[in-house]
Amino acid sequence: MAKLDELIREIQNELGADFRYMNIVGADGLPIAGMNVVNVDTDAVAARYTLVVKLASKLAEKLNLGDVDDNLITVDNAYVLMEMLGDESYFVILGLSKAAPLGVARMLLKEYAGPIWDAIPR
Amino acid sequence: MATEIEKKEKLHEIESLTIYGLALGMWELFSDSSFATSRGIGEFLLTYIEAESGFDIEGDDPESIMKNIMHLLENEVGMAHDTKSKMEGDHAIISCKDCSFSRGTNALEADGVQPFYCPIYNMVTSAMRDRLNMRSRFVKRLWDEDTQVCTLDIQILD
Repeated sequence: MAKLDELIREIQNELGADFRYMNIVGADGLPIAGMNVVNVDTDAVAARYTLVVKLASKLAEKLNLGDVDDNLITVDNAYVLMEMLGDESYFVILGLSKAAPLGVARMLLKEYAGPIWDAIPR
Repeated sequence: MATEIEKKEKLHEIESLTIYGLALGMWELFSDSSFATSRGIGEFLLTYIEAESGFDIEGDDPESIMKNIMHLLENEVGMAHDTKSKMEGDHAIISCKDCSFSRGTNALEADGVQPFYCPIYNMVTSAMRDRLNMRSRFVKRLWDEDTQVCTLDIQILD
């Protein structure tokens, strides 16, 4: 998990103050690594967003839309960006401030998706 | 017109079928992500059983937590008999005989549904999380038709 923690820290450094939390989550809703700089129950966030991610995958599959890359939820004061990893048995949840540059965040997740997938113990 | 006993039996069957349908529907929609609901289900059940029994589920280690929960479920609720629990390395192994959920669980398993709804699994994993700050994941369920014993294998991650 040390490698995963290191990768998460790198992403946090890139995003600076806009970074709120990040989890690497399995398909069963269990986070295997993560970091949060705000007071949020990231386990609960991971569990609930897992259902959203699963629904998105199901939707894409049933409608023959292709593979889901990412999923964005925008609320009043934050963004939550989810990026699928590898064979979609894991995904990333990235919590961002509303001022965060989404394009940069998306680019970072895509850049780090491969190394994160490789670092997941299986 | 049905007798009161027949009505209770039919009502129990309808409740069971409703749970069956919900579990099947959830699994078809979310598959293994259905386990993401385990913590919430476990919290509800723990709150209820502690209030009803007047007994707080406490413990300094997984064995104590499991033992307390299984004691309540066997002796206060009558959910199963001859319950056993132990740690094997980082795996929690729980076995129950004649569990009231076993018929439905076997039927759901035949439809490919893993026991994300199992009250015992949910209570144990939720209690581990809240009391010991230990996360866990479902590994497998074994069913012995001859002895009517169900065994859960749960991996403790922290």
